[in-house]
Amino acid sequence: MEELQLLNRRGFIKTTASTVALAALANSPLRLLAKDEAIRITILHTNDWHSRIEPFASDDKQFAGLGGAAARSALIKKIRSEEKNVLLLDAGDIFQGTPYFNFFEGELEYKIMSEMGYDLATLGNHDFDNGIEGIINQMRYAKFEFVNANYDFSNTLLSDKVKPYKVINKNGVKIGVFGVGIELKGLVPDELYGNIKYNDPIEAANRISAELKTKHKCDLVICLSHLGYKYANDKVSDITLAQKTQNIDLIIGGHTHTFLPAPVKQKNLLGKEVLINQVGWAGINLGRIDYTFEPLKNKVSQPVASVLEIGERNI
Amino acid sequence: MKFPVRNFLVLLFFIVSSCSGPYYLKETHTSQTRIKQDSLKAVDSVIVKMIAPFKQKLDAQMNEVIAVNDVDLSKERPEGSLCNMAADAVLAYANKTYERPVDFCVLNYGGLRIPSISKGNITLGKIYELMPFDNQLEVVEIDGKTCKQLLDVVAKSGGWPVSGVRMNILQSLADSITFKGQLLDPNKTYTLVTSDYIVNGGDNITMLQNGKKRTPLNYKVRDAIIDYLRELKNNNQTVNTKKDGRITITQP
Repeated sequence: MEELQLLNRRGFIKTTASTVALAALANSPLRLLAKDEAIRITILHTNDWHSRIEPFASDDKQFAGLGGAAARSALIKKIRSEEKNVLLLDAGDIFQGTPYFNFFEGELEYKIMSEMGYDLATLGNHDFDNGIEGIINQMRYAKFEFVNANYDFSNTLLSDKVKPYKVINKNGVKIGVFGVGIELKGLVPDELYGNIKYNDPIEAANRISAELKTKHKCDLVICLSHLGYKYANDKVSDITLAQKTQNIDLIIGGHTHTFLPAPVKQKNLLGKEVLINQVGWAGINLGRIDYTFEPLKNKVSQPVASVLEIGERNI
Repeated sequence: MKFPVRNFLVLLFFIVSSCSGPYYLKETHTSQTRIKQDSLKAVDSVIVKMIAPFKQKLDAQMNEVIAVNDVDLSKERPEGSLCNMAADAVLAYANKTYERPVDFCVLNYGGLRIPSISKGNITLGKIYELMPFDNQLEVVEIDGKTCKQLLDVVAKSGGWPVSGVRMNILQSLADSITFKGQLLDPNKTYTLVTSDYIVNGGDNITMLQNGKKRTPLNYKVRDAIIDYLRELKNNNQTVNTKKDGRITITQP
């Protein structure tokens, strides 16, 4: 170990050396130790795609030729061929907006998302446009799951079908994903959302994200939000959600159809930065956030850090 | 040729310290891609095949040209030509079916779901995109005071689609409200046509639920718009709805 530290101090571990080292590691019986490599998690996301199965028509003034499920899927499949740890998420309002929903009630939307390999989605207000039954009837076509932590679904048919959160393990990195939704009263006709009770999304987010960080030891906590990016009044939004919580790393938002040119950083209760992203609507953009993780024990501030950097440079 | 030694050292290190701990976030990189078939030059044929049978069924119906548009219609605040066309269509339908003349129409801005309809053919599918909801029309009789409350909400949000009424937005309130040139009379009863969504409190419209008389027309907002457009075509007329100053705004 003494010699190793010497090596580090002199800083002469060269890229080539480390490449060879890692290659050796990959092919050796010591593969178990691959945990010590940096791991890249690729988050892909959409929101408010609103049954936009086909691209916008060529005569559309703003969006001619944009969007389309077949092109989105091709892009996603290409990224999957390049990246090992892809997580594909949607922040709600999958339903409503084209005749595909009026006539087929979301069957094709869910089938397509299943083919694309979506992992999780949250529920937006328009997902209730055919009522609670309207969602349940289509769930048979969905190979992905739904998360929401601030709607109380007890006494509704969705009670065992929507979970507050899900923990996904990608190559050893634990990612906790939960959802929050907008107040449905005044937005969705009462009879369509039935007995669903709306609870404070900030309270739910703080409770669930703490559970994900401490109990489940998640390395990354993601909130799928259909609250909306920002409002002129004091209505709860992704901005306020970020400011008033303390364990969220990333908020993937929706509802306001906001085309953010780049994710926005917002300080949380502890002064830590939270990333907020939203990619407009209609499947026009695909958002992507790549996180590179390294084992904590090799963090720069720790004595062994520089060894780990070898891996980081080469992965 | 010192490499083997170094490799050994690195490996040794991994062995010594291989007990795995939690991860820390080293780096974040963000990007987004515009989905455009032309530039991505790729479509997923699996998805194309999945869509095909659905698309075939829809196209047979939805590609029907129901009107020809002479202007570019756009959704705007405080007033937009697309907003005017939709509200005019709904008011026209209500006036044909309700027991007495209907004074005005108010639709919620968020209820129109596309920003524009370009000059040229308007297909049935386009109107489904404009108004995908199955909301039904309802006529409500309200007094002038309630009209003012409703139009104040319209003013506060910057302008909604209206027909039969003209107003100016002054300091986020409805001002100079007129119906056929007559100033709003707080004590008079007015007939309003809107969607059941709005009457039931949608978009936080809370003042209509206690209207003097509510009459469901049992007809979809979308179908009223479709009828209006078809009728123009049947009469060899084109769509040329323009902004006519029905909602103005006095900038602060």
